[in-house]
Amino acid sequence: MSQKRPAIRAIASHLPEIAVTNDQLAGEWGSEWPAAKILAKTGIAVRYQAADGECASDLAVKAALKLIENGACTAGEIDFLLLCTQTPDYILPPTACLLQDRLGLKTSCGALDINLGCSGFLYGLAMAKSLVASSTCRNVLLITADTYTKLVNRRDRSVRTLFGDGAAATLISAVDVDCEPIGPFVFGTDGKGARHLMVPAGGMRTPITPEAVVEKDVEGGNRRSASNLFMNGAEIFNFTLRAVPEAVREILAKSGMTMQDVDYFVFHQASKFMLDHLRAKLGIPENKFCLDLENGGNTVSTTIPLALERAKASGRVKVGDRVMLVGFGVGLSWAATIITIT
Amino acid sequence: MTTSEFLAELATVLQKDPMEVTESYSLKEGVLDSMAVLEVIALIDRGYGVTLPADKLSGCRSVGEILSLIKMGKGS
Repeated sequence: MSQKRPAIRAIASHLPEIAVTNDQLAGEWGSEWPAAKILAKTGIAVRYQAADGECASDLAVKAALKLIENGACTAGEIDFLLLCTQTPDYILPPTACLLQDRLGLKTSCGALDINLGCSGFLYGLAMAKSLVASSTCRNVLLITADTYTKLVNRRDRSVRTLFGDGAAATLISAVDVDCEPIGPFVFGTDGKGARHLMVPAGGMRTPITPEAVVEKDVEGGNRRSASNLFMNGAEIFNFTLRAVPEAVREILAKSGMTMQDVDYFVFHQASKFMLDHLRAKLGIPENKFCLDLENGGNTVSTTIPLALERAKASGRVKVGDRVMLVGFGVGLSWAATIITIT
Repeated sequence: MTTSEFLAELATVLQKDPMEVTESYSLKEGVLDSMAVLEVIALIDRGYGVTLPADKLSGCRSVGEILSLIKMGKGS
């Protein structure tokens, strides 16, 4: 029966202007890491980097204004703003509060930051769905925005090849439909693995001191300081091998679906190597599996909405398609859902 | 996956001559770099359905030790 249910009404994204190509990285790092090898392993041709002084909030504003200019809604109609970021402008206040002002949202609008990475879009979507389904809000603006490149050491190849900056704005509001456009969710958290993907210094546990910014030679000929992003790629890969197939099984069971019922799969765009392996392990046909890293790389919580926006624009997904979304990463944290394109 | 199939694929990952990569092949420092560890984890997951911890894999001094880890992983 047709009734009002929460749905993704619109998505708009913004990537910063500074492009970092594989040729540029290969030029900096020498013959051991040729541009072709970087492309083959990561699937990334170019990642974008926020300029000095350009923050996640600046990318967020551009994405949100694009969404509003596209006619999805007016600023005054938004009654809740969720910002998922791990690179806030300040320790406090919340960046979401600054965005309320910069976007001209009404002062009766709720706003809060969510500190999550690659699983963050799914967590934000679950919260937005609940806010709309409970009639607490009519229009929730979920923004994902990060500038991880500010945390990455230029000489740490393990992360610099992968991460790019970016933002996406997603509008969730009620639409008249027969089925639930945003399905059930499964969540997962394993704080034991937190140390495998972290920025050790800069919080209250280990404040920034002169020692915390001293760069050191580390494994694999890389360099970084305690205030830089650290990722143990092999352990993160192992985590995804455990968590993602299980999350896929759980969300199918919870949704009463089989793999064949799903028209398209959008996983967090971590790296081509990881996604190729997960796709093969799960037996997903190539034409149903999103691999959209080439232009932008791993933009953390923005990869899923960005990939959805592009898939819709290019016709890879169409109205009525059932799309499985799976996010996984820093935390360690993961989540999955199945949406129907409206 | 048979042991000989594993050795052949391992040789490809390590970019070595397949004739060279036997159970006694020594994994000297630097042979298993971070990317190779990732690829070997993927190979073992694909071939045996076993997920090996990266630190244990990095600690292997020979191909034979990797095969022992796989055997232990399959038994658990």
